[in-house]
Amino acid sequence: MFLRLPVKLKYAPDEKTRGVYDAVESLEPGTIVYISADYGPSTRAELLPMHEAIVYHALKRDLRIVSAALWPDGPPLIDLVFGKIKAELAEEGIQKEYGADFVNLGYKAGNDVTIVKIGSSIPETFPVDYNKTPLASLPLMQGVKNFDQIGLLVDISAGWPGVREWLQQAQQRFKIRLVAGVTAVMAPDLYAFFQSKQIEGFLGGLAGAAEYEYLLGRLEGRAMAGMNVQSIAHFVILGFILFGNVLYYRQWRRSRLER
Amino acid sequence: MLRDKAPVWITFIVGAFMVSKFFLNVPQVTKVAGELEQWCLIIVGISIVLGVVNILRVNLKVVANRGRDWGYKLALIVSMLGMTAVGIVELIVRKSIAGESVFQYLYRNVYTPLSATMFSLLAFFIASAAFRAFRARNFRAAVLLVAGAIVMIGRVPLGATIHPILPKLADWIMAYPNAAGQRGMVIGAALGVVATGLRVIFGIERPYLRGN
Repeated sequence: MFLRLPVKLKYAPDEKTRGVYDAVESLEPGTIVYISADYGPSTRAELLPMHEAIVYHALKRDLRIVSAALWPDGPPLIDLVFGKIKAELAEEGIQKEYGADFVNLGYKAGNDVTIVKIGSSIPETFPVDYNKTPLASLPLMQGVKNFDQIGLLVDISAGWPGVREWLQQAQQRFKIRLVAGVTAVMAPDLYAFFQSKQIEGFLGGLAGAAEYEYLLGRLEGRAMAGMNVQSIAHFVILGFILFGNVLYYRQWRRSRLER
Repeated sequence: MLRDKAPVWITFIVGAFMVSKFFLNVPQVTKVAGELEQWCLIIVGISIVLGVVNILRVNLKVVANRGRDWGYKLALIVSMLGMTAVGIVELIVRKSIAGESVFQYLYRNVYTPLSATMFSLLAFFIASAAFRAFRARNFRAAVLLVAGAIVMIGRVPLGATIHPILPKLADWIMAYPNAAGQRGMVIGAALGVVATGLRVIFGIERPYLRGN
């Protein structure tokens, strides 16, 4: 019900959301973006909208996307996002094809070691893609050896392994540009890395995804619709907190008077 | 004696070598380290099989003895083996589990809604915890409460709609007090990781030697 409330909310994207937007905008057409979908269906509500928004932004700017996952639940979500955005762009007259504009390399176990291995050699880490197609036969993967050919690393993460691991093993070792999309609970952890410019920007939860959609002009986006509900939910929880404190104060006052 | 000493020496040699790879830009070192990383990925892949075997071993025992919650454990075993079987059949017949397949159908229509439902139960726990736990019992609790309330209101667009100062206050709280605290914790944790890593490499701590 609250999703369809005709409430016009004000959006003011902050510098960390703008950091993600500007990082994608700064890339030349044809640049390869590596997106790691390190989340599963349990956090889909928070992270899928930002995943869709980033893929939409990148493909619309004629960037090419190599996507993989350090979580076993990730690859089907990657396929879901690519399918949806491909259809959306086709309606706008923009044709994008698997193998030439985006690829899904699937899941690889190994966490931090996988990240280091990707930095050394992507074809050795992923000899085939999620569809079991050899990488050598995919046009997008021609000449892509490691992070040297990647213009931007995007990590969409719900926990471990996630942004910290990409920061430690990829951004610091291989000096690759990094932006992130995380759940709202994880967002407070990343401010220190953002201030030290190790991460150029990050999206925190559904609010971050909504701000990103606002910057992209996707006003009918899933995250913006969800912010109506989240706003109401926050105020309901605040109401519970206030109610609990009122009851606590009354109890405290009664016990003082009895003394 | 070799049984105790050999793993310690292997840990030291391999650990020191992998640390040195970070600092040395020598092609031979990089090549050997790359091979070791590949071995590690293979071992991690095998450990997933070990994990599955362990789950089966623990839960089958409970089911066989009709122990506590044996029905739930039976559901776990049946669903785990079922998805595995479907995936293996798909790999044999279609060479892939991607695209339109029974595996993807089960993932999208069974696993995804169940997973999302379990996570969404958190909303009710949060509401209950908010009522019971966020009480201004003393000054520090009151500061935490006020800061939390400002961040909760400021992080949603409704807060910006009410007053433009609210998002700015929320951002200030996250960017200064929160970031300062997080920075301290990250540095402390990193020092702990370095210390523990060095203790494992030098054999002072031997978590891989059970009982030693």
